[in-house]
Amino acid sequence: MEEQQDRNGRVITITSGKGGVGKTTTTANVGAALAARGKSVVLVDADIGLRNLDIVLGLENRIVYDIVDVVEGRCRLRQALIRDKRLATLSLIPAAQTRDKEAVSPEQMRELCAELRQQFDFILIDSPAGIERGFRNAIAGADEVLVVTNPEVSAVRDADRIIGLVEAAELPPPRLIVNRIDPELVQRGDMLSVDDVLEILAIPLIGVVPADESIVTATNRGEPVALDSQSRAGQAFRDIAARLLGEDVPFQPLELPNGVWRRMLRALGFGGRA
Amino acid sequence: MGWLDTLFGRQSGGALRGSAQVAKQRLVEVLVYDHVKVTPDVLEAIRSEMCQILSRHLDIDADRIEISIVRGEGGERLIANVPVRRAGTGRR
Repeated sequence: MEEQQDRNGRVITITSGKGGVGKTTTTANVGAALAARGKSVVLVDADIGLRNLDIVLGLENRIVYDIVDVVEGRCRLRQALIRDKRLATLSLIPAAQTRDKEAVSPEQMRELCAELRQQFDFILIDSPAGIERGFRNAIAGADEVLVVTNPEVSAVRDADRIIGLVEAAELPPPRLIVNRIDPELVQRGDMLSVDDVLEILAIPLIGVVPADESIVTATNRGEPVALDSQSRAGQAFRDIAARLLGEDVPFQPLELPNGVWRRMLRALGFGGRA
Repeated sequence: MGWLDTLFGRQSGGALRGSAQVAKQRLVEVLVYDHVKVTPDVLEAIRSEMCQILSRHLDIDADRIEISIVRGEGGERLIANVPVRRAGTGRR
């Protein structure tokens, strides 16, 4: 990372409109998965005032400088970069906790992205919720956008709004991540399916992440679930990283735990409601 | 049908559909209005004015006019379904 050659990195913003759908978790895990593949990755927490990405990565004790210090010239970019504990090629620029969205302008974000682009293969920007200044900042320097949504009415409605704003900003059509899908509820007809969401939003799909306890436990520990080879959600994030690298990865069938057998027994009249 | 549907997780029949169908329907409707920024009373005004204009030229069944905005390929479309009475059938 010390060399001065221009890496011509890709700036990818992760956004959603609605809060709480999993933007930060997605940013941390897709970044970790890319870094585990040997790419140099920097994660930028653009949610100024509500700093969270450091927590998900377990790096909250290492923060000295933040993104506002960088754009206001109080430190050098290098000083604000926090190296991940586990992955040598993963770094974080934390958000400021005591300032607000107005502390950074879209122009400053563009300049920051231009500088990061020279040093990293991937620059992942974790957008705040909403459609105002924080979101404008987050997409200002972006080359591409990933929209995270959950299979529920309000999250999909907000995703639709965000997609319109991304297209109005003359960025390429964003790609969609459907997060927290519960295969059992979908199968029962009580949750929008990935196909339902795709039919409504009409943008390309890049990932489907199942609702998975392992995300909760990994986040509790401050460890990216993408590094857990046993986790289904972790596999989903690794698949997203592979697709960003241009690999043609098939979408994993959303299999219920013991699904086929349980349903077969049920269909044959053994136990449970049909 | 029957056990095959259960095996592959399909819903059988239309009557016992789950809440996902309700969610999808609500979503489609709310997005149409988000995109077109038209309220139900504007639609009603369009309906009644269209009815006046068409009545000047055609014998239409004003009570059965249906106007809706639907999503389709390449954006939203206003669909008007206007039943026209045949001339000379005496159905008046």
